[in-house]
Amino acid sequence: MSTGNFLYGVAMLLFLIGFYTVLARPSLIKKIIGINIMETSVFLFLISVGSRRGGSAPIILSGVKDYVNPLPQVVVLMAMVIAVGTTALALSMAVKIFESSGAGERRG
Amino acid sequence: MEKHFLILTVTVPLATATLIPLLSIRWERAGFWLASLALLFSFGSALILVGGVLVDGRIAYHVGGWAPPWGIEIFLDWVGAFFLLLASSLSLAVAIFSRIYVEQNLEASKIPLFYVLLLLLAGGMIGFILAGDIFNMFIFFEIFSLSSYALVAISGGLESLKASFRYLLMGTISSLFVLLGIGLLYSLTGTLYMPLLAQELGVLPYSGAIRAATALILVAFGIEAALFPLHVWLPGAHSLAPSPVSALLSGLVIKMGVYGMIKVLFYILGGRGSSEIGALFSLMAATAIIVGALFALRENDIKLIFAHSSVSQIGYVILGIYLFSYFGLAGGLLQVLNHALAKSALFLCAGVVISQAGFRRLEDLRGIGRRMPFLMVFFTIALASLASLPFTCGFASKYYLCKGAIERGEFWLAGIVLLGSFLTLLYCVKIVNYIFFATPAVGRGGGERSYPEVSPWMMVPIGVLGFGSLLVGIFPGLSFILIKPAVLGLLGMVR
Repeated sequence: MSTGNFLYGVAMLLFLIGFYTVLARPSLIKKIIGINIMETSVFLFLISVGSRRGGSAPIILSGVKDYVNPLPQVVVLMAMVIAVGTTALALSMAVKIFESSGAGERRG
Repeated sequence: MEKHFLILTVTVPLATATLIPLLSIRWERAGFWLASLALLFSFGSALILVGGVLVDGRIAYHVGGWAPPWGIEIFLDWVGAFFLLLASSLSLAVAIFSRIYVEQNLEASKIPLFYVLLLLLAGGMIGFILAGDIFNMFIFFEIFSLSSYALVAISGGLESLKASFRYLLMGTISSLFVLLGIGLLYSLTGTLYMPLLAQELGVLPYSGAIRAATALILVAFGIEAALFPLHVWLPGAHSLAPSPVSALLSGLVIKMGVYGMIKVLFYILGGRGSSEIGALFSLMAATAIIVGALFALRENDIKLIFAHSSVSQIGYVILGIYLFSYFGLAGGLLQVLNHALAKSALFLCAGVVISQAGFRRLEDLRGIGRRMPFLMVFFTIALASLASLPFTCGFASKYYLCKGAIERGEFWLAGIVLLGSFLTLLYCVKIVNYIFFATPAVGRGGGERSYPEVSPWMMVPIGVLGFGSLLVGIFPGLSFILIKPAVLGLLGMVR
């Protein structure tokens, strides 16, 4: 139980670090990194919600008593796909902004 | 039989979106025709589905034939039918309008991509409306959000890229809040299916965890709906996007945030904690009404005026919802309809003016009413509806909102509604004055400016939206066919 709470705490800490980075850093690339940190923290939270000590994959086998609900893993998998898409879009926009403003890292 | 249209109305636009880039290689106009056909199909099936809802009240479809606790359910009820009809008809109107607009305003290589994104946006919104579990809601939320970020940036100018990037940051933060809230709700109940979630949450005490999840999701949808302190992305994104996109963003996408709030407040929470949530959100909505209108009054660029006015008008919708009463909710839903029709028509008209005449500042619009009479008549009808003059849809919605506020004893909210309407009337009169009564602007050659003909591809959607807004204003009973059972259904969920 205590490990579970520890993971929740880490997830929230990471979430706030990412959130701070997005809000406070002027650089576009750092904002995107902040978004990624937030995403990772939410994945960590979802995975730790879904984990169960000694649990096994939901396939009926002899001798296995505890099964884990695969729903959170599926959710994280889908959310990761979306996160990759978001990051790709954000990075391509950042590239376009750098190109048309003619500078390296600029405020957004 | 009709339940199969539930899945088709989502999948046909999404599948067609993937076909467009392929077919555009050979066939130049593939984008427009495929997009229009797919959206026409969605609109047709939306009509069939609404017919089904009128008979049965609720239609459900189990994806793959698996029943809900394990399988995925998509369903349509009265509230969904109202939003579905709005979403499918407005996307169709915008797609038809876009034909001429994008040819004049976008590079040829971007035109198929524009229609791909338009279809993803429409399909995502329709899926969001139909989703029966909270995680599918999140997926469709992301589909339409991502395509709207890309649509804002599609013209490729530096300003629109920056606006789009800001929108993307806010939108991603909002979607991560939703995901975190979903995670909390899952950890409490072990399910994501909405009716089951409501049932499980109903037996739990109203703990800090439920409050945190509610706060996260409501704030996230507040960002999407551009509720006052969270609206900073809206003016830039809505005013710098291509005009048909602005019409969809202002008319529909921000309403999806409202729909998400309705889902959470009524379908999942069953009206729990409504007093504390309602007090905070109606305060935010009241501020939005006044501040948005004041900003709109100050602006000089027509698209920026309409963007700020969206902040103010969405405040009315949210105010109505958080009154948690029959008149409040009915007023809120009527305002959704009113704002969707009027603001889309206004942005499309602004698109015609910007595209045909090439300017967007208020001074340049002087005397344009004599040059483009038909267009400006619809423009004025839409403005009248925005300003809630009698015999327009806006009047009915503000009337219900006032009644709802007074019924709750919140007289100051009724005062805010009236003050907001007055400020809206001020900036609408200001625009009308420039259009019809100011001396015409002088062109470069010294004579009066000349304006090209407006294509029927652009006039027809604007006309339909303008007439729709008049029709609903003169016969409010038409919209109440859907709104009344929707509101009663929502209030029936309150425990």
